Amino acid sequence: MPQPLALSVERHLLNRANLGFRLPLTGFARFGAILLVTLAACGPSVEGHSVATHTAIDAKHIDASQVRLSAVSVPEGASELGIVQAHTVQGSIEDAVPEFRNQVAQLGGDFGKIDNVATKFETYTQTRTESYSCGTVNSPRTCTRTVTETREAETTRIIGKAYRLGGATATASKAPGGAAPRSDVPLTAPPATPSSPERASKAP
Amino acid sequence: MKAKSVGFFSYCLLLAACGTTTTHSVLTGAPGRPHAGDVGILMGDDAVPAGMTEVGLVQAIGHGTNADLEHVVDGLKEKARELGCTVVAKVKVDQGSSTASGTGICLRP
Repeated sequence: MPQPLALSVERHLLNRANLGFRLPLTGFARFGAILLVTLAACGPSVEGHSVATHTAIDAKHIDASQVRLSAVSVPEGASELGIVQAHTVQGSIEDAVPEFRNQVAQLGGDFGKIDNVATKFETYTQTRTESYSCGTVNSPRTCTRTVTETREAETTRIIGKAYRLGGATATASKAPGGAAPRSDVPLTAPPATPSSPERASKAP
Repeated sequence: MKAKSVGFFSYCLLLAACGTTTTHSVLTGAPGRPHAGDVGILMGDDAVPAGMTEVGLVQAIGHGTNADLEHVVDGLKEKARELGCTVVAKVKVDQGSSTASGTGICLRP
């Protein structure tokens, strides 16, 4: 899991000999760097994949922020482009959906239909070393012990399809005949690149 | 005796506080006004009622003592009320050993 990686990087930052060169960091900057690395390692990880099943008619660049979503229906006239998946470990749908949009945009789509959201759980053991006082008042000592904990990691996965609306307009139709997808969702994503048959991306 | 009672009640309070429920949402439509009314829950394959407008996806994650169906469904309802929804459709609850997660589609009239 991410924590051992963070500890390893911390150890590298603290032990300059392991890096092979001296880091010109002050104590404060070093502390900040360690904190950043630790926070980055503890946050949810997000990953996305997509597979093109059809090719977009034009190679129009689609920005992920322009991708509209629905979990109910697809606007009439939309053409299917491919299958899209995004998942997050120790995160929520709020972490996975921006990556889903990103993957839709990378296929050249401007509309994403969410078909399924599922969460699975995995248990893992984590071992850490603790130190504690074990001496007396007269002769204080510090002992160490190894603690093994069982933890649970949840993975939330969103799977669906990418579509190009083209001439189709996403009207404010009502479920189940049609969803009311809008572009006013307060989510932003980095600009997407043109489509290719298969791609994947990872975010920390 | 008194100290023991205080200790026991503190322990009970601590146990009761060992669970949390977090709620999340992603908007795919315009939310309505928050309300305090009831929210209908439609499980997985139940048909989405006609005439409803999609608002977004909602998720509730229960940890610890809240990792059960009741807390997850309550979390989904609470989030749905915030978004002005009266129905959460296609609800699915996944259960782990110390975590439970439920998702659904938030719909309003």
